Amino acid sequence: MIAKIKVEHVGPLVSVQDAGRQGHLRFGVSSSGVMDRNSFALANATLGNAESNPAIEVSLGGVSLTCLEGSVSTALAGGNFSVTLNKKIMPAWSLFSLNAGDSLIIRPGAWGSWCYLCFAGHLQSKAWLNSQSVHLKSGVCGTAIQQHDVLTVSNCTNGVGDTVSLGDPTEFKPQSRIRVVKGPQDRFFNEQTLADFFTSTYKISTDYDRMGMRLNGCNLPVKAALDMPSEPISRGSLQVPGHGDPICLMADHHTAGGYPKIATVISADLDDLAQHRSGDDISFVAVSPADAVQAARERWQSQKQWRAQIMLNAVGVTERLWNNNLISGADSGADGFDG
Amino acid sequence: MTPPVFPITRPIADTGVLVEFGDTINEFVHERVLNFDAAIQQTTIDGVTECVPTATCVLVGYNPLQTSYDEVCERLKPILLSEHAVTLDPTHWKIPTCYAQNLAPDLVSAAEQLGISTTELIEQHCSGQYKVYMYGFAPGYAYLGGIPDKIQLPRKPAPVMNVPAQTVMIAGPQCLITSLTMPTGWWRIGMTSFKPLDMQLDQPFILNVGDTLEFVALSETEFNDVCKT
Repeated sequence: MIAKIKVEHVGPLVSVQDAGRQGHLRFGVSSSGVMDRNSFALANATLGNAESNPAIEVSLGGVSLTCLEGSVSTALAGGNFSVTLNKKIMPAWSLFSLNAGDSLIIRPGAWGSWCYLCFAGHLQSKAWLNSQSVHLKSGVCGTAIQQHDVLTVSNCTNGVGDTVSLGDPTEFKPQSRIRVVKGPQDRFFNEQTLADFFTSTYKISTDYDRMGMRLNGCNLPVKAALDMPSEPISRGSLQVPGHGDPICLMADHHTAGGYPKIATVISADLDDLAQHRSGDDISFVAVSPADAVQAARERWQSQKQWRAQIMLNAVGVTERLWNNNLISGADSGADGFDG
Repeated sequence: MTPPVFPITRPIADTGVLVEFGDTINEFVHERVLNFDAAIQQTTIDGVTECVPTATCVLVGYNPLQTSYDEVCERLKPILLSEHAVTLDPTHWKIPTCYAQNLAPDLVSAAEQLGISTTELIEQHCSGQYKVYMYGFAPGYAYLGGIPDKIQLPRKPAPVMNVPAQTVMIAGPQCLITSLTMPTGWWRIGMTSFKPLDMQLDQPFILNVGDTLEFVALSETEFNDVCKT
């Protein structure tokens, strides 16, 4: 069965994303993929989907959709958005049935910048290098979702009856304290500047998209002339251009650059950082690479527990969906990670 | 201050080891980058997910659920000691290029800026021995070193939008063949029939870091014939 979903209204930066394409940075290809990997994985897990099954990533611009035909189990998770189905208020994180004639509206809510609309089926779009993630800057796999687009979900199943709340998202509200490992170019800043960086508060500016977020706060002058050769960039790199405001590079980051990077956000805190909004205050704390690795492993364990909890919230329904779908791989662990 | 002793390894959060072979771009440093990169490609290191060579350093990416910074550094040590054992086998490419003014919107202004004729600019560009130093900016954007001193120009003050794929452009000591339609502030001096990116292929990136190139000038008629085949 297929489902067809029409886009009635859509804000900027709403796009098809999955776990991204890894391993091609050496050819100038950033991994892209979802901004908040945890929420995306949770939404797919409730549907019994493979954990990289493509989703609609909804930005603060929001989206209004009409199901034109078909019927599909749908899961929504990420941030705390304001959601209505046929004008009826829905839990922010939920599992529900989307049927022909239904109108689904997702708008920014209390907090959070990104939420994920996942389907028990396959959202059709262009794929490249084993990923359907759109890279907005280069046009890889298309563009952002546009008004009047009609999206197709193939191989749909629908085993959901009444809407099920997946629980209170409050425990996923992002922390304002973001852990980083210093460097790799912290030597380009004097001791006072480094101290300032770790003791002051930074405000997320309105320059925030899938490539990165510019932060306002204590200015970070670079000690030496800006003449370093271009070096590889990672997701989470905090680069400091001539204006002295740090920019944290996110999913669609360019792959190399010549600005010094004062620190790099650890992978365990990247989802939290992504869910912050323009105007939110954050601060940075330095940890060792060993502590950062430990944090990634703890985060992975927590994710498994969250998944189990969400399954419990949707008891019965999730089991039925899993039996319907007969899809495995929701716990493939090591394979799914993208720095 | 004592000068740094290379190679230097630095942590990138919990996902990478940056191995630096120098702090200025030169042939010697890049050879070490290429050797190390090739050695890593030939070795299986548990948890290592990718290797990103640039002009002066290599990023070794890893999965923190499978390994750690210390473990990866330990595995890299013997490779850093034996890097020269690797034999490199770069490909040499001849890039058919048409410098006709209708295909090269910046040829005349670039020549004016340099104070030379367009003919001399073309001759100089074709005389360069180019090498792929690294990729960056966008998928398939390979940065080529080897621009002759005489035709080095700073990039334009403002970028131009929608520059098509297969444009040959220069800025500073670098040359680039575009692979996608993107904005750029580089000087567009020609078009080539060579496609550095073919998204239909399993291995869509035609040039490898370390490959060498030369540009061969074609007349517009020759170029149109090449493009047809």
